[in-house]
Amino acid sequence: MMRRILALLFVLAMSAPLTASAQELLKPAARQGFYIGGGLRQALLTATDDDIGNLGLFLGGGFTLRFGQVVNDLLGVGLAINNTGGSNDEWAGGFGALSLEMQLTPLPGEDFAVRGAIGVGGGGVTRSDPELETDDEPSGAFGAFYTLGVSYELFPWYEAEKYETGGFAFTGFLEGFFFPGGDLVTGGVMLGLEVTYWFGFQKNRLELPPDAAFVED
Amino acid sequence: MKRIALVSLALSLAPVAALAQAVPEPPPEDAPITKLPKIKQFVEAIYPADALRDRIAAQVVLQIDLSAEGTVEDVIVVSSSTAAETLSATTAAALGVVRSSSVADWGFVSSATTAVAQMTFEPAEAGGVPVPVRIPFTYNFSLPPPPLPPPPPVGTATVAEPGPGIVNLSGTLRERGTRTLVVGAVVTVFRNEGEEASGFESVTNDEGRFEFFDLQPGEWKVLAEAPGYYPLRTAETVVVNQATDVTYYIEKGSYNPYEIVVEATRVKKEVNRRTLTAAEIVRVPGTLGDPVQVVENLPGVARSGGGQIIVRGSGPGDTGVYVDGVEIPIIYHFGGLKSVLPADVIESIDFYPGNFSVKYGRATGGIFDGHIRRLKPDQVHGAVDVSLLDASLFLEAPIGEDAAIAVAGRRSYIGNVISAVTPDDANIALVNAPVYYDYHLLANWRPSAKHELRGYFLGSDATFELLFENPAEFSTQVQSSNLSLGTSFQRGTVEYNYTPNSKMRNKLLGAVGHDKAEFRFGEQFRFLLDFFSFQVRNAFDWEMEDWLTVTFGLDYLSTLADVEVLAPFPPREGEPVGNTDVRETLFTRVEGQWTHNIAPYVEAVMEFGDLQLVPGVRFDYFQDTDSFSVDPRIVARYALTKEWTAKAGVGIVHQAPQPGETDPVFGNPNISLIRGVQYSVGAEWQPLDYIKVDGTLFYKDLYDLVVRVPAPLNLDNIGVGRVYGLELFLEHKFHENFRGWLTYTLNRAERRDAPGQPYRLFDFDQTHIVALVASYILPENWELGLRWRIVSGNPYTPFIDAVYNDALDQYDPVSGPVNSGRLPLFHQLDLRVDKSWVFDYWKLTAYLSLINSYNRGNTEGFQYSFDYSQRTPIQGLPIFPILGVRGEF
Repeated sequence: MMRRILALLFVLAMSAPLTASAQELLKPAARQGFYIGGGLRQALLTATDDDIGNLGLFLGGGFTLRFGQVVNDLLGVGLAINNTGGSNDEWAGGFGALSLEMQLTPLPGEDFAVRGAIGVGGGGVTRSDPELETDDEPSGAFGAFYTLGVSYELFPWYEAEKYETGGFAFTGFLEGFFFPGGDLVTGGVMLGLEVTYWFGFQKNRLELPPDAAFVED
Repeated sequence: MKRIALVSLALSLAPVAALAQAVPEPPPEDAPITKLPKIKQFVEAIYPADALRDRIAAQVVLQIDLSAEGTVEDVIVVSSSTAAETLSATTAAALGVVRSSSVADWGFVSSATTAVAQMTFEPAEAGGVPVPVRIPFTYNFSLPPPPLPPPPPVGTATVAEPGPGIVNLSGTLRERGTRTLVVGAVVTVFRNEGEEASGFESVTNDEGRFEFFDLQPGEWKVLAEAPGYYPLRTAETVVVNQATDVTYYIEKGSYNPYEIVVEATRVKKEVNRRTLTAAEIVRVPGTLGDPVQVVENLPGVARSGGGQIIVRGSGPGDTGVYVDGVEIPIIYHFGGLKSVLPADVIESIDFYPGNFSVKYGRATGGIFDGHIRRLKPDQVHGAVDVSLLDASLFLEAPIGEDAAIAVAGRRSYIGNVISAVTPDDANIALVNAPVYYDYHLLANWRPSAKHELRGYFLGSDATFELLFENPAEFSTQVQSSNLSLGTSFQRGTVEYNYTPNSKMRNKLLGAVGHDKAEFRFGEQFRFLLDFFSFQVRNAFDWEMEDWLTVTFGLDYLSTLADVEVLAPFPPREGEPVGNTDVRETLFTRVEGQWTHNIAPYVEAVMEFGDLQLVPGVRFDYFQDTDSFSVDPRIVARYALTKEWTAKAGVGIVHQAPQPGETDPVFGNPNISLIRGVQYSVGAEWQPLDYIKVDGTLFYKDLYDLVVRVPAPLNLDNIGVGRVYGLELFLEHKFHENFRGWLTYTLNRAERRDAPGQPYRLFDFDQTHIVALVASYILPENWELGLRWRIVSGNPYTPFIDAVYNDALDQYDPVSGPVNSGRLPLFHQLDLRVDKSWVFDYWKLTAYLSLINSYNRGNTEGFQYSFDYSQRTPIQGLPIFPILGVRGEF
């Protein structure tokens, strides 16, 4: 049977830019694909115990581990592990949390994000001076854990001209958190810096000029 | 013979200037093209008859001006040449291409321009705005290749002999993760040759195969594209005199777990039947992927919190639980955490909250029927799931072309986790950590369209043992310190389906089962059960007329039981806990007790235009109570419009007393059947294929309920009950990556324990039951899901006073009116996130389920002080994360 041949479908996809040299494909954003990051934070928090009342302001710090993926222009999903501790003249305390994290990128292609998380946390406070302990010390805290904040990624080594995505980024963030852990309720703000590695997109998910399309990832 | 499409084309790399903008607010002239145009509708050119006769091939190079709408504005002939010019002489000769110096003479140009002018394209875009562009387009007219040479002998090297029409690059295209063959994909090989480029194209056939002839040696770029898949780009090196066979795996844009093959939509014959597929079940947040727990999110089902199914105000034991029509004794492993049916072995579940078919009986509540997978593997498939709770395995394989077999198993280790975190100084020590496991064997054999044989074996086992360091802390009446519980059962089922013609179908099913239960509390109490069951079901469907289908059926169940019980009289529904004197124990032993239950039934499905009537009658004989019952039932459905259906049903149901209630020591051997009359009326509205709204008003009368009476009768059939309410169900089937449902049940369930007494609330009367279940599939194989429930608290009987009991040295509570209190409102949000990674041969999914995400402290009961003057709430499960991974191949 005779075959009539279609040509060219892939010419459209694979050929050079269709218009004059100024008309090029959009360069992909760096903030793509999977990410894994970690960093340190400063925290200012307060805690309130059901029986004792407010325990004052705590100053402290902690670390964060985060991993996940940006799934489209707007949204990223991942997990975050937080550990934060602090103290004041009378009390010392801390908590850890495992959270489901989501990031919204209000300006697609930009490196600014709003991020929030919901998860489970546990922790507690103790007297800074054990000799002052009484029978009615605050109990441990366990419960839901919430964060909401903003972040900005700086990609110092990103070269858009290579149609590559991802790479190392420095991530600065400011977050508020709320941890209603039963009898002990904690909340505060955290300011920190993380180092994040973005794995980027595989090239078969990008529209690329032919000289970049068949370059191995 | 494999289907081959061979393409020769010319790549034009010359840039094309953008045309004048014809759309409002055009992007700047130098705005980059952000989206290339693509062919939307291809029009095939007519091969000039003379050229075909004379075996003339040709190539016509065109320029097409596309509008911003994607239509062809103008076609310009750039050049015409023969295809042979871009092919090697060998290949050209192999294809029988004859060079032509004047393409137009043969009619190629007019044919190509006519065809191209009729094509439509997806327009190009610049900065998101459609823009007109000019593109190069080459239309090749090639002759079919000559017949392929015979394949090389099996087992020899795949070296192709030089000669015309030799396949020297071929392959198979499969889907990543599932290894499913990809049919209809376009595979293109091309490379630059000087200023021009040559390329060939092949479309994968039904076996996912593609082939190329006589490619010149060297490196070729390969592009594989299929709708819904990411393109695959790679390169292959063609070597002289060597055939290369490859397998490519291309990744789907989205692996949708709800993408199921719908064989046929089952005609609805019931007022309410909710069918959920395994894929829908697995990812409902908060249910741990359990098929039975999902039922609790359907209308008409109360929240039990303890592994019970409570339907429309009926007791937990009043709902029939079946697996493909076979009754099973226990649907949940202890604690209600997981059912005995892992999702891997389930194809779907049917749930009927009332007015069910006469093929089901011996139940006055609802019906749960889980359907075992019909195995249809084309190759070996398997899955391993490991979570914080348990681990499971599933493996299926074809046996020839007509048969398949599968095994599955699951074992928990949550008990070990509990044991590890139990403080050393706790009053309770886990001697044997709670453990459950189940194991399954499935088999199918379908030698012809008329005959099908299926087998299923299910085994389940659960045990745990506790040691109380100081049992008196719990109750001064407790004398033992050791508590152990073990349950196990097995069911073996064989089903034979015979379909002699399109009008008749017979289903014969036989099942044998063995159940064992052992509960001991030291020497103080024990409950030992050893139980065999034999079940035979047959259903013969006969389409007598176009409008009439009749089912004749038989449902036979017999049991052989050995039972030994040493225990106090157990508290019954409506009786407050805390009043039982556990020192007053009773003892009974039953050995070798046979019971037989047989039920013939007949049901007709009658279609009168838009009206469907389903009358049926079931005759039951219960040997345990030596009782006959007749259950007539009818359901009517009327299609008011294409979107609206009215429905109604009424039916009588009977049920035997619960096991033990006819025992002469613990019960009354003279009690009889429990009877119910179920009514429902409602309407369904389906404005869109994927949107369905269902509203049903229901009413149920219960008669001859077994209630406690003074000894020596112990129990008698003097109770009655009534249940009424409204069920609303809004379902969004999977569409645009979203699926979910919202249910609301308004319900009132009452009981009257003796004539002349007022009605009281049923233990599980929950006035308002709201459940929202939703899942959204995000790109990159992420899925987010939530379940949010708001449910009225259960009624409870408050203690209003307490009296000191000298003999027992304890306070005995004084109860207020039965079920006159109500626990606080229950609400809980469960979240779930799934992420899948797709590899060539398998798929890995990680999931996090966050149960009770905002850590609501729901009150499930009260714990009282020793003198009942104070109480503290007993709260349900706090926030609880479950992590797991699942690998499938």
